[in-house]
Order: sequence, then structure tokens, then C-alpha cells
Amino acid sequence: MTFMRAGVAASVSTLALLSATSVWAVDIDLMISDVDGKAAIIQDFADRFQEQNPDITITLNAVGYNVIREQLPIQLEAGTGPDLSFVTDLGGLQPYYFDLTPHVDAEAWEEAYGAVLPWYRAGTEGGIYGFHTEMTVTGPYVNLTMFEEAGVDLPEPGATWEDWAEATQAVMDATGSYAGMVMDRSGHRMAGPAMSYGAAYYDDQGHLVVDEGFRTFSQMMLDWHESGLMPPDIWPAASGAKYTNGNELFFNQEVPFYMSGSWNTANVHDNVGDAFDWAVVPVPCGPEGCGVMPGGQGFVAFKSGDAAQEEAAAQFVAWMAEEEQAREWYTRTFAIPAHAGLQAEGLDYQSAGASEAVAKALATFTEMASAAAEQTPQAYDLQGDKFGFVMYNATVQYLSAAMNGELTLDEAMDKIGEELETNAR
Amino acid sequence: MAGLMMALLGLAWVIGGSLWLLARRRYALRQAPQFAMDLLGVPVDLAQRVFGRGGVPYALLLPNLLIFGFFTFLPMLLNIYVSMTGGSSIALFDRPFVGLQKFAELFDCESLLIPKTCTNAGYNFWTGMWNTLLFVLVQVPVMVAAAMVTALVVNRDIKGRGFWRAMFFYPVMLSPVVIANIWNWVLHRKGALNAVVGEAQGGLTALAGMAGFDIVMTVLLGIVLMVVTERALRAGEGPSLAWRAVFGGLFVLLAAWAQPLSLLGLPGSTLAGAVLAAGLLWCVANDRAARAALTLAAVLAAAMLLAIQFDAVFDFGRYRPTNWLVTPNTGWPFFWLVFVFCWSHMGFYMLILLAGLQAIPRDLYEAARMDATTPWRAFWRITLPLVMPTLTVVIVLSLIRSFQIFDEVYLLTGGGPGRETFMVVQNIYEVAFSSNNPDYGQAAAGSILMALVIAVFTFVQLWLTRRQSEL
Repeated sequence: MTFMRAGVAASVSTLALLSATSVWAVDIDLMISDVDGKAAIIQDFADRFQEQNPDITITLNAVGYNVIREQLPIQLEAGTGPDLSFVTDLGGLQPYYFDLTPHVDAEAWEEAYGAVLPWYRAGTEGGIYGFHTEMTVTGPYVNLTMFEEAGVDLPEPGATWEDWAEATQAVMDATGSYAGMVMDRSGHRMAGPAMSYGAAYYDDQGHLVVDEGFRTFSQMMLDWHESGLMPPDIWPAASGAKYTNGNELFFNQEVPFYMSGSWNTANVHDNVGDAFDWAVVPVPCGPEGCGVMPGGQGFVAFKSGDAAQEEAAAQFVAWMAEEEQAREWYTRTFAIPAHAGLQAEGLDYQSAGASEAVAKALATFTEMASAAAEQTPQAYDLQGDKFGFVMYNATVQYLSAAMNGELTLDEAMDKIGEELETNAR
Repeated sequence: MAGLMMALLGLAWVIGGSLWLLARRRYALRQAPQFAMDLLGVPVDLAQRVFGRGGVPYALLLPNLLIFGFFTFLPMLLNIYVSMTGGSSIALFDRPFVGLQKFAELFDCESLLIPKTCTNAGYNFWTGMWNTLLFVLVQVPVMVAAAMVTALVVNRDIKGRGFWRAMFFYPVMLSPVVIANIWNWVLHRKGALNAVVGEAQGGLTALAGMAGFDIVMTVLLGIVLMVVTERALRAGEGPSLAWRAVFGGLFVLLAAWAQPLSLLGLPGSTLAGAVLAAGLLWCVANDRAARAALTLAAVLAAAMLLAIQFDAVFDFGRYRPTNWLVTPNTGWPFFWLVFVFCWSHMGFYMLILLAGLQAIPRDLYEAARMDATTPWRAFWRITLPLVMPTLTVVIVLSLIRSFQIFDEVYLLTGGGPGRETFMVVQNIYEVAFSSNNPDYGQAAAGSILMALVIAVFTFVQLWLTRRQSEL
């Protein structure tokens, strides 16, 4: 009888243990764009988190950046999205974010990340919706070797876009390079320079608009593409609002000047290697200042309707945002920290394998960000605007059409205006 | 669940069917195979009992009809419903009914023929629609002609016929992703085509820089000119124009290199050469002083040959690679799209035409040969009329497939440069799936309009070919 009782007890215990395990074991998916080589690093963090939380399994899904931009919103709308993702449309995806507030030390988050948390709220009141994994700033990379070979001096800080166009044209002529300047096919990348030429982006009612300043810089872009200073491969080549970057052209020394951003520093470092000397230079200016766009990428958890999955996802985001992990993440990815304490402390990128050029580049980007905050404050409003991507996509789509001769610049401006009127009100 | 249902159905068939058979007929052991066959036919027997003899075919069609209805007709009806709804929700019942508003947005234009006069929705849709129509009008005749010629060739008794048939058919088996990657590799600015062209051009430039190149080329071309002239004069007794055509081509080439009109300070020597060559061919074709004209042209050609500096003609300098798929306003992206689409799909249509050609009785050709009919006449009078029904199928199929072009173009050019290769299906896809403000209603409206255009084209095509066959 005793034997029988013990057997029953053992069976019940085993069943209880099994059922408890099945209750707590949670599988969560993480989507990341591996365009800048960060997937391997997040995998490392995920492995460590899983060691500490054996009941949580994180599956990494590395995809192209276009998947994040184009397919993720549809997946979320259809209820088939991942539990976690790295996103750049911080305000646009706000309705799908899981509020982390009950799962994190909200006070510490406000203190550390208070400057960027409103970008995720997109006008809603309160809530903590994401860990800003990198503060980014748009800005130019320059191939110093090509300038040296051409015997052309780098324009001084404060030089205008026209000065840089002239200098890069001289390098192009001397070296026979494919083009002089290239800019990622992105309205976000163009916004800073446009602000330098007076683009306000907002009217008196706070609505997104295109104005004379925007038109001025658009005309310059058109002229540079027409003359061949900018290559047809990036802006005119693609269709619609498709994102394309100029990495390959810069890495292959086909262009001496590349307008990209701080998030690309590690990628440039890894791909250029010893092929040539490069540097990040202060962004060219215009009559209204030296505009760059701030921004970056955030790590967010999505609502899934499954409390256990949502909690596990929130735990991972909270753990990543803790100062220790955050410091390591920012250092290893060569990212400008969004954590106020780490910003003040400064990070030792070189200990994580960064070259002197990378450390210098990040310092230059940080300087650009502070200059832009004073000179073109509308950049920060645009970054936090939930309609930001409507503006960026319309810029790319219709300006490219003007570059191809399908529309005149005036017609392109009208089309962008109509897009804002329809989708950004 | 579905597995369980299938298993139960199988059991009911085997056990129930066996009982049903055994209750009605007696089987000896040696009749086991017949029993098995009868068991297979139990559903038909049952259907016959329930629906009668005339109803059996419909009963057997029912499962297929249900599946088609669910996966084809129901989505079509849902698509019509979605085209009349607005909002951004993907959930069908959260979408407000807006009637024909989405269609009206697409038609909100000053002129449908000039898409930029439309509002943004119409601009994108009609740009895609006109591009697609242009693509169809260019691509379908080219592909059908290429498929017909290929089918005629591989239908002949040539060496390695099976190999050639397989070679032409194999691109059909490749996925569009593979096709796009292959051709991207070829057509990229740093791709195989530019490498070949660059190397050839570099080689010629280097050759032109060698001492004596000018003299060697003059002598070489002199010999070629003599041979071609002699052949052309001798061939004057026969029916062929081929050697005269070769002579004409050579004449145009020499005029382009020598630029004789530049002696008078005039441009347009190449065009003048082409006009002279065409005139020469006309003289020969109509037998009007053909021999004298050809002799005069040969003297002119020899004079031009002596005036050419070949080291300058073949010095191409540094090769600037052409950006085949990227540079706007050159026509190259559209050309390559037509080419790649033909390359990848031609094999399928070739196969259908081949079946049509093989169905033509051989004795017709034998009779034609006995009547000394030329191959060209035999093609027009025998092959084409008899293969016409197959050709109609091919034209209609290729027309529909061309209208639906998306994957190849999306992967190869992405619709670019700008909107040069932007097709209507891409517009529907982008509006619904790759926009920050997905508009499912407008995408559904666009797809209905596209289906209407395809239907109109198909019916016109069928009507024309039916009329032709009746005549």
C-alpha cells in the first residue's frame, strides 16, 4: 500500500513538474535586419539571456531591411508578427507596441532614456515602449585616399554642399571614378541637408509640408544626378519608395563621398578594412545651418495576446536596456548611446575592436547631432512624428520620378504635397 | 482533423463498400482482382443509384467544384467586396463600405493617357497599366514569333534534336528568382556582359595600336570585298539575294568608316551609304542594270576602303560600362525585360507549338514538294493555317501571362529606373503590401480593372482568330 501511495505521489509530482514546465516554457521570435551586421551580436546576448532564463527560447529571424520596413507592419496588422523586433519607424508602429512599464524600473528608464522615449509614444500619453539601441545621426563618409590621389583638399568644416559638390567633382575628374557623391535612397537621409537650405517641414498648424527650402535642395539633387556627379544606381534606379544604399559603391571606391549615417560605422569599418583610408567629416552646410537627422533603431516588444509571450519579450527588452548590457551593446555595435549616463561617461569603442577611425567617426557624428539640435530643431520633431515615413517615402518616390524626367520638379512637389495631405493629416 | 476524416472515409469505403458488394454479388476466391476493381468503383455505383445515370458526371465533378469554389470563386467575390470598402484594417468586417469610391480615385484624372494628370493613386496605377500594355504589345508578338521559329527548327530532322528541345525548354523550369539572379549577374554594371564587351573593345584598341594594323586590315578587307563582289556577280544568275545583301552590308560599313561626305564638309555619310546599298538591292531585285550597279558600287567601295584609317576606327579608348538595368531614358531596361521574359518563357510556348506542328500530316508536305512548292510558300499555305488553332492558344496564354508579369520585373529592375518598367501588378502589390498606408480597397479595385482589361484583350483576340478561321 505504501509502495502504491509512493508511486501515485511520484506520478503526480512528475505530472505537476511537466505541466509547470510546459506552462512556463515560452518561445519568442525576434526579427532583426542584418544589413549592418548586428544579428550575430544580438544572438550572443540572446544566448546569455536564455542561460539565465532557461524557460525562454528566443528564435532569431535575420531579414533584409526592406522586410522590416514593408512587411513587418502587415504582419503586425494581420496578427502574425514577431514578439520582438528592431525597428526604425519608431512612431509609425506605436499601436502595436507592448507597454513595458509594469515590467521595468520605469523611473530608471525615464532617467536613462527620457530623451528618446517620446519618439516611441508618437503623441500618446505615457508608457515605455522600447529600448533605443542606437542614437543615430546622418552624415557623410569620405574616401581620404581618393582625395589624396586626386590632389584635392578636403573642404573645411562649415563648407557648403556646393563646395563639396565642386571638390568631389574634381576628385571624380582626376581619378575617373564612377561618381562623385552618393546618398542612400531615403527621405530621412535627404531631410537634414534640405533643412540646411531652409526646409521647415512643418507649417503653422504643425502639419507636414514641402516648402521653398525643400525645393531648393531637391533642385540641387536633380542637377547632381543630371550631371552624373550622383550615380543613377541609387535614387533614379529603383522604383517607388524602395530603400537602396550606396555601401557597395563606397566600399568599391567608386565614389569618394557617401551620405549615410552613424549606424553604418561598424559596417564601413569591417568592409573597407585596409583597402583605403576613410573618415567621417562634418556634414556640409547650407545658408540655414548644418542639418542632420537624428534617429536610430529601437528594440521593441509587440502585443501578441499571449500574456506569457508578452512578458518574456518584455523581460528580454528590459534586460537588454540595463546599464551593463546596454554599455556592452553600444560598445560592440559602435553605436552612439541613447542612455544618458553612458553618454556622459563616454564609451571605449577601441577596446571592442574599433579602429581609431571608428572612434573619431563616432565623435564627429556626436558633434553633428549637438550642432543640428541648435540649428535645425525641426529634425527632432520630424524624427518623433508618426507620419515621418509618409514624408520620407513621398520624397523618395516623387523626387526620383523627377530625376527620371517623368515629372517636372513642380509636379513632384505637388505630388508630395498631395501625399502628405492624404496620408499625414 | 483532416487526417482523421480521410482515414474514416477510407475505412467507410473499404469496409462499407465490401459489405455492400458482398450483399449483392457472390465472388469466388479467384475473383479477388475483380472484387478489388469493383470496390474501387463503389462510389460510382452509389452515385448512379442516388443521382441516376445522367447525374454521375456532375456528382464526380462536385468535389472539384467545391475546391475551386472555395479557393478561386470565393476569393474573387471577396476581392469585389474589398474593392468597395475603405479603412486600413485587414479584417474584412472592420472595413467600412465606400461603394465605388476606390474606383473613382483611380479615374480621378484630367487625361487617363497622361498618368501624371491623375491624383497620386491614378498616377501610379495608370503608369503601371500603360507600361504593361506597352510590354504586352511588344513582348507577345516577339515571343510568339521566336517560339514559332524555334519550334519549326527543332521540328526538323536536325542533329541532337532532343538536346536542342531540352535546351530551349529548360529556362521554363527555373524559378523567377533564379532567372532574375542569372540575368542580374550578366547585366550588372560589373557583370558578365560588360566584361565581355569591355575585353573585346580593349583587345581591338590594343590591336589597333600595333604597327601595320592599318595596312593589314586594308588588305584583309580588300580580299573580303573581292570575294563578296565576285560571289554577288556570279549569284546574279540564280534566285538568291543573299550575297548582294552581304555586299550591301559591307558597303554601309565602309561608308560609316570612311565618311566620304566629310570631304565636302557634310555629315550623314552612314545614312547615304545605307540609301545607296538599299538602292543597289532594289536594282538587283528588279533586275534593272543589276550587274552595272553592282560593279559601280564595288568601285566605290574599293575607293572608300583605301581612304579608311583603320587604326583610328578600331581605337575605342577606355570602355565605360553600360548600366543596362539602371540608366534612365535609354530604353535598355525595357529591352532587357522583354528579352529575359522571352528567354525564360519561350520554351513553354515552343513546346505547345511543337505539338501542333507534329499533328500536321506529313503527306501534305510531300504533295507540296512534288508540286515544286517553295518552303516559304509551304509554310504560309500549309503550316500556318493548320497550326493556327494551337497558335491561338499560345497567343492567348502568353497575353494573359504577360499582363500578369511581376516577379521577374520586381526582382530584375524593381520597376525602375523610375517607373520605366513599373507594371500594374507591382502597383497592386505595393498599394496593398509595401506601403506605410496600405490601401487594400484600392489594390482590389486595381486588380478588378486589370482583370477586365485582360478579359477584353482575350475576347477580342478569340473573336479575331475565330473570324479568321471562318474566313
